[in-house]
Amino acid sequence: MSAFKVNIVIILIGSLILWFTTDGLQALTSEGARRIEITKLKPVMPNITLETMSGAYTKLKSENGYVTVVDFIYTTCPFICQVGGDNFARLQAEINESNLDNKVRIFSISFDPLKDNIEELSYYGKRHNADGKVWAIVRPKIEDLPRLLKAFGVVVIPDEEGGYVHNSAIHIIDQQGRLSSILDSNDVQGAVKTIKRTLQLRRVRQ
Amino acid sequence: MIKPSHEPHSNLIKFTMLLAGAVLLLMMIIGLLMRAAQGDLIEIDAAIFYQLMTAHGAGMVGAASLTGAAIMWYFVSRYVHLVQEVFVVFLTLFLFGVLFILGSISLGQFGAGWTFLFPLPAISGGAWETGAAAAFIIGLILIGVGFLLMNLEIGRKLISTFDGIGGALAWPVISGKVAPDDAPPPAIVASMATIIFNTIGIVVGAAVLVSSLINLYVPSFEVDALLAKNMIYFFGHVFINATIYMAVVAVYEIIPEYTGKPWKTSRIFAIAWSAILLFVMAVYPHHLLQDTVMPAWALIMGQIVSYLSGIPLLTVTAFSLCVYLRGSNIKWDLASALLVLGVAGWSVGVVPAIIDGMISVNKIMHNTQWVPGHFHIYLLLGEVAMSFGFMAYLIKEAKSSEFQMIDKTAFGVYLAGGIGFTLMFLVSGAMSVPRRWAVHAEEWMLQDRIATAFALLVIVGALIFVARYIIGIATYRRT
Amino acid sequence: MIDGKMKLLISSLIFTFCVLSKGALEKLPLTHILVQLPLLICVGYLLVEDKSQKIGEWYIGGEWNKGGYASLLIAIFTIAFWMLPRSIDAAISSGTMELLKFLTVPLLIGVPLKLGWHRTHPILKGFLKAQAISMLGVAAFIYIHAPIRICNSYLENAQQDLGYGFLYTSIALAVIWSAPLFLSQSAKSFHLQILRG
Repeated sequence: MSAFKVNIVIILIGSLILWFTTDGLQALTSEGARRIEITKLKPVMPNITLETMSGAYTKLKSENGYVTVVDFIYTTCPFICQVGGDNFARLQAEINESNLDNKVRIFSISFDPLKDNIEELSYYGKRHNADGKVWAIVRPKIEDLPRLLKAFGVVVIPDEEGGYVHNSAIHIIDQQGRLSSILDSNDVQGAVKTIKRTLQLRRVRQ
Repeated sequence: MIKPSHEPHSNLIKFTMLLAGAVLLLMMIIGLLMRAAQGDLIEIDAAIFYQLMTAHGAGMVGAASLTGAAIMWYFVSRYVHLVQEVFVVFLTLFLFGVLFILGSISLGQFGAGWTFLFPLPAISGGAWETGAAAAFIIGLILIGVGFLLMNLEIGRKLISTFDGIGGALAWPVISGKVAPDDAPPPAIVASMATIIFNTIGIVVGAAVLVSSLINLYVPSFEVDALLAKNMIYFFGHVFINATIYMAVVAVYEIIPEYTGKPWKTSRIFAIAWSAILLFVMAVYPHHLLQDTVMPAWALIMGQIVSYLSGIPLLTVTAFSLCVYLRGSNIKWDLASALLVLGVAGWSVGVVPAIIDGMISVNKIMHNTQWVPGHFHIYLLLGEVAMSFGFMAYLIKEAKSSEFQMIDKTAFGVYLAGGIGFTLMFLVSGAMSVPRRWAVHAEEWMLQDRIATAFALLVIVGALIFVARYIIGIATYRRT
Repeated sequence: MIDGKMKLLISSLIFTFCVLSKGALEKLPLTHILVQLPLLICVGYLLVEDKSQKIGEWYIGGEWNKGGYASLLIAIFTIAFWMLPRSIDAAISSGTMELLKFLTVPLLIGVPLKLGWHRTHPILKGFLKAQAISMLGVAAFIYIHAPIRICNSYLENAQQDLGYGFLYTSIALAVIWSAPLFLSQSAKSFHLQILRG
């Protein structure tokens, strides 16, 4: 085989491998891959019980056919969760403005339910103006935590200062309790659009 | 004495200069349109104006770099054997790059200026799509790759022939080990220095270009805006300066043919070029004097090096040219006149640059037309004059070496047009007329209109230069 | 000079070290990417002798690898694969990918580089060196500044350390590759004598 042909074959095989390992140049990181897989598969999330910042109990899946928006936090987090809190405050405002407040719920779920007691949860909620109606700060039972994180594909690693490092994103769960899309945590506009589209889909199907 | 020992790649370089001449003319016409639009003589939509400005900037930087590269290649290839195919690859990559850039502007409506300053290419407010910005960046990358290959070919030949980088920069002359008679000629010293800083500039430029490209498609991979600006201006400053440092090789090589007196690499000449090598890279922060978040030392360094970098240029090229011409009996024709004009324009153009390089002045002047005033003197009356001079030199054999009437007229028209045109920028700048504005206030329009008239003169002169060149090539082929 | 057998010994020692120190080196991205992977490349690089007859004429100097392009392409694609943050994540979370890393980095980067580099045209060599310096700069740029976590398996400040690691590697390579050019190359200076005539 001539050098030219060999080179062409190598380029073809190499490009194909790179194409497939990046989902068609879509995802360079594991986080990107997770998002693409989820939009394809739409896995059903475990319908666990959550304790809200007012001490009430609720379920992850809405019984009234609401769309549920979720992010993962720990309230003592100094960085990313506080920014995420501000983003969710904007999202809450957008939802109220678009009169979607009776179709959408927002949960900030703590993955540190041992430290994050009701007091801590409501303090975080107050700081970011969570109204408790559209947006609630919640915590799962400790025994539900592993399967919850696994289902959402969230990786939490303890850091050196006694906190955690975790992937932060906006997760959107549709009316059937399926995880339907994941967006960058600052992409509030994108989240609003996706919520509207998800509500639309439902209506068309009905 | 080291003398030229090889035949230069004449036909390839003649073709390149023909392309460059055509681009120069086209870009001059775009410049004319912009000035006319600012003077309200014609109407151009603001979005189109910024596309024209982007095209004019990228096109002129491209044309200047292409002519500079052609001049350097031509004269270096008289001393060492260069592989001609490398220049062909360079030219091909360059033209593909131009295609991408033109496509991004004309089809994609890209208008973020040739400096692609983050975040403008990424956040266009709907004026252009991501693809257009990407095409522009890819075009610049292709041109950069072409330049890198060309620099590598010249660099490795100079390094192996002239005993390392130090040898080619004539360091043995500085240390007194080698007499100026045995030193590498000025063309070699200048080329070696230019190749070093231009290669470093391209490597930095490639890094910021690829980062910007990744950011366009993966916005969560954010670019640090201040670092990006530093890298862009390092690359941009080095790249545009390299054009004139390459073009001046034509002065070193051609003027001695007119005087019959060799131009030797003296000790001070060698020191000056090694100093230029450092100054060109250290001076770029003078583009960022208004960025208050920059560390103070960088800005002060920018101001000081701004002063310093005038010295090697003015003393070594301008002053030594004067001394050199005084004792000699130079024959004047279009080529020698334009080359001497080039050095004069370059030296004069440095003055407004040094003024703008002062932090206190810069705060007021940098976003006025003072700055285009500076770099238009530097380029129009400097680099471009040298390039037209080189073109006249290339066709010299074909015609009598007299300074003909038509050449004298063209030279006069070009010079008058160039002085008037650049002066209007400086006047407007002194009056605080902002630069990069598509629409001008009524009271700024007088200078815009006068500048438009002078721009027409420049174009008439340039048109005659290019026409003479084309005729020259045609007759040369036949004989 | 180190002979072929010696190189083979060093190569297998480095490989053993990489396997044994796996846990320690993979704990931080800096040591994972900038210590373990280069060591694994060395394993492959030392594995083959240029002129060794053991591997056969076809493999070393065959027509298929004229100009060294084929082997360079193999190395470049493999490097590109392992530059993807998700490949690195996968190498930590999946045993198969881990095994793949220990096999492909020596065999598809180190070995091809050794086979191809000496046949590569000097200009292409220069281009690839400039490219490597520049792209390490890009990686440094992104890893230091990215507000997102690029690898899920690593902490964000460890990611920044890796970014600075890329930056210093880039600067070091620039110095290492350009310093020799300043030295006098007296063996070649007879050209100069001829020119000076």
